[in-house]
Amino acid sequence: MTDTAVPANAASMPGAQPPLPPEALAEQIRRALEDDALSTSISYGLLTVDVAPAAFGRAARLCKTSEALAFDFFDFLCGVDAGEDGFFVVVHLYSTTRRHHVQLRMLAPGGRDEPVAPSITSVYGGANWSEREAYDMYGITFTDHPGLLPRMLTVENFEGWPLRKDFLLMTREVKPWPGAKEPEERKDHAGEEGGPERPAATGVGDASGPSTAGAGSGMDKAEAAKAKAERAKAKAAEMRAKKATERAAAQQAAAGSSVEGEAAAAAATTDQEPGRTEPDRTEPDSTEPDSTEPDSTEPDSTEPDGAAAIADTDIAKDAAAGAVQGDVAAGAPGDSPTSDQPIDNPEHEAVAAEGGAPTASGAPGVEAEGRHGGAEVQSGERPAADTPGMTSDRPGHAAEGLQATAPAPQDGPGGATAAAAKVTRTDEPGGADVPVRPAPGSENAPVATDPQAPGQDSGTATEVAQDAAPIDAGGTDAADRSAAPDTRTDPEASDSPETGAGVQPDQRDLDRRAGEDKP
Amino acid sequence: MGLIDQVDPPQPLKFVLNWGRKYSLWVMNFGLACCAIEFIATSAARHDFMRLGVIPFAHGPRQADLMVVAGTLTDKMAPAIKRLYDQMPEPKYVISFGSCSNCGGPYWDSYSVTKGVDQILPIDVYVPGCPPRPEALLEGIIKLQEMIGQESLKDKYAAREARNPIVVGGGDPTRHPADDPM
Amino acid sequence: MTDYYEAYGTVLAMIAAGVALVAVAFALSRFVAPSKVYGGKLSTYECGLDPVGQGWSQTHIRYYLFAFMFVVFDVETLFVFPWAVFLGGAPAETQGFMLGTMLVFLFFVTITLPYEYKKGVLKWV
Repeated sequence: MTDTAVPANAASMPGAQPPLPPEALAEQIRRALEDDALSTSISYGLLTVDVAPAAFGRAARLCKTSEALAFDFFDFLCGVDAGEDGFFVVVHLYSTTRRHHVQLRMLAPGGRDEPVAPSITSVYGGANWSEREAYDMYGITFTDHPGLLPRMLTVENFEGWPLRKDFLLMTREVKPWPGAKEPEERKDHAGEEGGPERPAATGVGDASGPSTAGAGSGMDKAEAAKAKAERAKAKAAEMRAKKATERAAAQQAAAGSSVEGEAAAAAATTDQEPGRTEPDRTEPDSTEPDSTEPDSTEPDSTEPDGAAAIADTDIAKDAAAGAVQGDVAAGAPGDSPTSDQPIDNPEHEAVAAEGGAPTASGAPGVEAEGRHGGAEVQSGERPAADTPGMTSDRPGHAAEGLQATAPAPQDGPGGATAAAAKVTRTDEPGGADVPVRPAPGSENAPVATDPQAPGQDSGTATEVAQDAAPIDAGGTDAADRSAAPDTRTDPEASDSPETGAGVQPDQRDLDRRAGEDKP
Repeated sequence: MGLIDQVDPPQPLKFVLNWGRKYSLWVMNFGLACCAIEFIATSAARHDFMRLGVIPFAHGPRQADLMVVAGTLTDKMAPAIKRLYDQMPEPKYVISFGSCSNCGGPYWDSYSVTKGVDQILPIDVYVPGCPPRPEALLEGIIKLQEMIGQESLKDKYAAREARNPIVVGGGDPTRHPADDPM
Repeated sequence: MTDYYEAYGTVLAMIAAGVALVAVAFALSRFVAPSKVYGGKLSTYECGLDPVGQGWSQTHIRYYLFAFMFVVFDVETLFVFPWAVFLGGAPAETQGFMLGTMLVFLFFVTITLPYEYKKGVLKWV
């Protein structure tokens, strides 16, 4: 019942003013907030105002008390995982007297580690539990809130923030999604065992129909995304190296860390491509996971050893071979990693076993992260992208990251892999920065359309990719993917995102940022 | 004193007691999700489990003989259901209704769902389905009634107590953690 | 004489039957029904949660007025019943007097109602 247009009977109540059209609303709000209204966007007739965090409370109060705006009804407040940028807090307000809607959005400062937002409970009482929900699910702390604890939606001693993109779903770690795959993933894993095939969405990854339209504009964004990915990768790489060393030490002490490290490394490699990870995962499943699955279902202190041991063989080989996936740069997406060893499973198992369980706050697979940094162990203490399972989910990341680096002199998709195997491990995080979505699309998009494509295949350092769950990425991105993957990076490149959910997920950048993990 | 759980009454008396027990179940409906709607449908006029002697909607656990767990059990709800089950007086029975309470159902991969209420309670009858038809619940109740007709309370409690863990150093293994914090 | 006591005997038998019924029911339950006390079985019921606060829920004393009024009118009713029984069987000349007496009594009880209304007692607080 959004009155996007001004209906003839808008002012049905005597004395009620008609609703303001979104443009007029935007104008009013911008005038009142001046610089604090960072940007406004209108999609489907709904105005979304990006507000500076410091002025969020003021903006909410203004909306409520202003005569012209008269937003007296608090509809909802929710958090949105914005990838590496952190988390958005979106508030939807409605005016019962004037019948217009608005969404206020704010990027919570503190990034992914410590997102903090001002509470608007003093303005709108209904925000109380909505903010508690945002805290329970994302870890966004609201200052001046009457009481965020005890946790309301999860059990009180729950560890982790479930709705974060980097939250490991353990069952998915152990057993990948057995159902039908999204069209993008399906292309990558043509011929793989798995669920039934779904009819492909229109123009997914193909330069046909709507996809072409987006391809052009996507290119620029791709450039921006690439640059961003590179920056992120570099940053992540060093963080990773640091963490890896610490973790390695800890891990080794704990239990055959070397094995785990390799497992992690293997996991990381598999992260590269969403498509890849899927098939990889499924393939090894037949061989390895079965044995390790029981172990990894329940992360135990004992299990990791067993799982790791099994994974060790494959992973070690994999790692030693050095980012095999990367070599496939020129290969078609969906090529199984050159290394014959089934990598995915072992790594997943290992990672899951080790510490795949979402630990601490929002940093799934902290251990995995720690394992980053090939520095110490070639095979990699791979951060295994916190969510080994994620890798498949977020093919984009891995691919993206690699893409960014692909053109870079440092790592040719193919050659670099070997040499960079050790090094690339650290680079992997960079890939994380790239929005995940593009990856699936980019994979589908042949190299020709997207210079980054080749890089994608070589996603050796996929560690990061975890973020984008392939499922949601695929579902919503089906149409988006038709455009060049770069379009997905738009949210990163530009600041005109649509209303939260659809766009933000692209930028997941889990721990990759290195340092996300919270021990 | 509770003689009946220590001594097996003679068959005619046992038959009568079992007959009385099985046809006078008072249900504490533990409706958690969609299966609760099917439970309600079963209690309504068309399917009507009251004709089997099952009276719906006990006012609380202390007035109930039978608990039908209908719906998804989340981790947050688990201690509550355990306590409510504890508060039911003996003899009591549990039917797990629907696949969420059988095994986690479609939410088997969730981070917050208890995969099967039998992780917490002893179940007598499982009714599969998502959601099961009301007729399935009726069949489940009838199966339960057949079980009750044959049961010997003495054996039932002896078996249950045999399963109690041994607590080194003494203590009541059946205590509720909240009642007896360590 | 025995007729006189016979009536009381009937009452006594009724009381004994009532008591026996309850006693047998409870005794059967106590001796036959299974009893397994464990865990939180005897804990206070609070929809599965740990009970919060004390179990003592106190009604506000201001409601004493309703109990008070009930007693008054209940006693009045109690007096009216036997009077009504004997009114019909009384000789014609005394019926008028009996009626008048009772009406005076009822008047004094009923006059309290407007008084209470004016004092606001009849409103829920």
